[in-house]
Amino acid sequence: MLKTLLATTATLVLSGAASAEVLKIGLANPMTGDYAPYGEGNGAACMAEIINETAAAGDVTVEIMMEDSRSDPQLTLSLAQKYLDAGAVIVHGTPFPDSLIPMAAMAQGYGAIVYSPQITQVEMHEAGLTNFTAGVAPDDVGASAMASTVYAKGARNAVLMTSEDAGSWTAGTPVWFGEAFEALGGKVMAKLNHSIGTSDWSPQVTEIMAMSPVPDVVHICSIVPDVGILARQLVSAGYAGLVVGCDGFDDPSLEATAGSPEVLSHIMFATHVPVLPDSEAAKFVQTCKDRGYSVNGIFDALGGDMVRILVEAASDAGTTTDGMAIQTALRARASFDLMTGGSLSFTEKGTWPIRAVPIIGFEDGKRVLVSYDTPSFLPHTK
Amino acid sequence: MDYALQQFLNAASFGAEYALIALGLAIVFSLMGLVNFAHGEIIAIASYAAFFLILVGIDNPAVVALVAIAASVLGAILFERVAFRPVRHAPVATGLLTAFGVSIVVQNAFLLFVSPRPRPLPVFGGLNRTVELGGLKVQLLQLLEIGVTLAAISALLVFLRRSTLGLAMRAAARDFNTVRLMGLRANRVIATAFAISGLLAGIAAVFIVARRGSIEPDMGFMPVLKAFVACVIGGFGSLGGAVLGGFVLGFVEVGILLVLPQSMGGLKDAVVFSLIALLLVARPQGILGSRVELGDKER
Repeated sequence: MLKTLLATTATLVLSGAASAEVLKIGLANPMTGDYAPYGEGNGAACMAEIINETAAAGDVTVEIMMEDSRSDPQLTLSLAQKYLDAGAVIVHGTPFPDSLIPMAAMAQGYGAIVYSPQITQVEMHEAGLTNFTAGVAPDDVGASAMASTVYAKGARNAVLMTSEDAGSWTAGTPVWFGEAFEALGGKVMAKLNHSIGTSDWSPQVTEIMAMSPVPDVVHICSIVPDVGILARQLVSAGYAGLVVGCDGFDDPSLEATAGSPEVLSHIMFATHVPVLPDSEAAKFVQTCKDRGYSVNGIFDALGGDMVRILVEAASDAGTTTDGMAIQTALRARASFDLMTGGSLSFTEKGTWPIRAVPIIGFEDGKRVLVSYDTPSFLPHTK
Repeated sequence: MDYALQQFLNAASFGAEYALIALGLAIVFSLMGLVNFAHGEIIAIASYAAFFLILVGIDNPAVVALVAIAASVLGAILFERVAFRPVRHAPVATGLLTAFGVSIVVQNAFLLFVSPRPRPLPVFGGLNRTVELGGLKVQLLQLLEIGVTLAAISALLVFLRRSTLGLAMRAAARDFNTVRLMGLRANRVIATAFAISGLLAGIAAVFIVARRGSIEPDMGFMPVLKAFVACVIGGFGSLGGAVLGGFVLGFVEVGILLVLPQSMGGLKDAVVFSLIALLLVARPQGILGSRVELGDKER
């Protein structure tokens, strides 16, 4: 009896000691629905597995709790509540403000934080959240980098396509592109409306092709397949300019949706990490595929980076159970080396990192890095 | 002038797609009183059939299109046999819930066994090329959409007016019991209606895939929602109304997109549905629907 009691006590003590080193992350991941291409969950789970395999005694290990949010804000919040109740100190979900702003408010009551590896909406940095950090720069930074790139390539007239469907991501990003483009000397000819889920752009294509002069560049921030279809229909109508946009373009199905190398040669987009052949991000994606994960591309790579950064911050903070202490450590470190190459730092901006913006284009149907700079002109973010 | 003609063609092409799908919904509704929200999944079945065909190495667009349409016809017949026949005599709400159930099951099957993410399917991409028509640059796909829709509607009219089964379907839409008393089998009439709705959905699927260049599990949801609105506009149960409603919706959508000031872009759907609401206030039964009072036997 005494032996059993001693053994049970020892097990409890040991398991207690072990659980203190486990960083619990809850991900209400969009595996289905409109935003399924933009989830980071499988990349995060893959990185957690790699970290846990190589962790030495006393190192921080990771437990990922993950379910499908179906791209639905309400379900995202329900799942986040479940993860917080289960002890998660870091939560994330469908990467849009209507999910993440209330999630941050909910997490605050638990002393937990929200870390989003991919959200770019400026609202997140203006909502006064004290427990939120994004792993990428806001949309106006990418828009400005894109404006510099297309202006340098000779574009002088632009059409902006905006939508109210996904907040500032679809409504503001083209406008900020336009501001940066005009600051360089370009001209915004017109703004046209669209909706997410558009599969026939013929009214807008007719409108654009009837303009005089026909614009050199059309900017849109939306999702695939919409943007691929837009490019295909524009080129099919004889459009010779560029169709440019944001990270919503960055999905492997863009190539097939655009349909041909000819159409792709008209496309450029701003993103966060260049997932090009032989890049560190591409190697990580391949490693995860070899391990049996259904990973996609950049967003899974960002998920991998997220887990690595958070583990390092938890190690710096000396805790895996105090979310705010982990966030303080996150913002205090001068630099985090990224698994996807390069580094980032939160010391200057706090809720988002300073990092260069890769602009991806296409040659012979293959992705190429067109530019990779940190823009100096920020149309919106101060 | 070219601009106006081009936009007219764009609107007609939108309307043709809505009309094809709305007609499929209306045929089933006219016989069974069922709003088949699983109609979108018939579109998805056709699209995924095309996807599987490409996977096994068959990439001739004509063959793929035919197989996709055949798959949608079979899918529609299967839906009727497995899901809707057992609840045929149940209250209308049961049929509606069954339709939602079928829709969810099929969507999740594609989601689990294929992928939740969009899958590329560029097999019909050749239809997106531009052709010159009287000095006007027109997408081949738009011409086909309008032409095939008109041909399909004409063929359906001939079938409904000239064939015994077609006459039986029209009669059944008015009084199913009398049709059965005359010796026609209800199962056959209803299965034919589902087969026709599957055929129309399959044709629409070819056009949708040609334009999208990709497929995903819930790809049929929005088209069917639009088709449902078209049926309401035209008058639910009226085949002509479904076609007219589809074209009205297409023209209203394109018109609003072009006329609405940029600053009011977010109100596009609100304006479209407000216009439809106004129309329904004036004609609650839809443009071609017949007014039904409580206690009336005929729809």
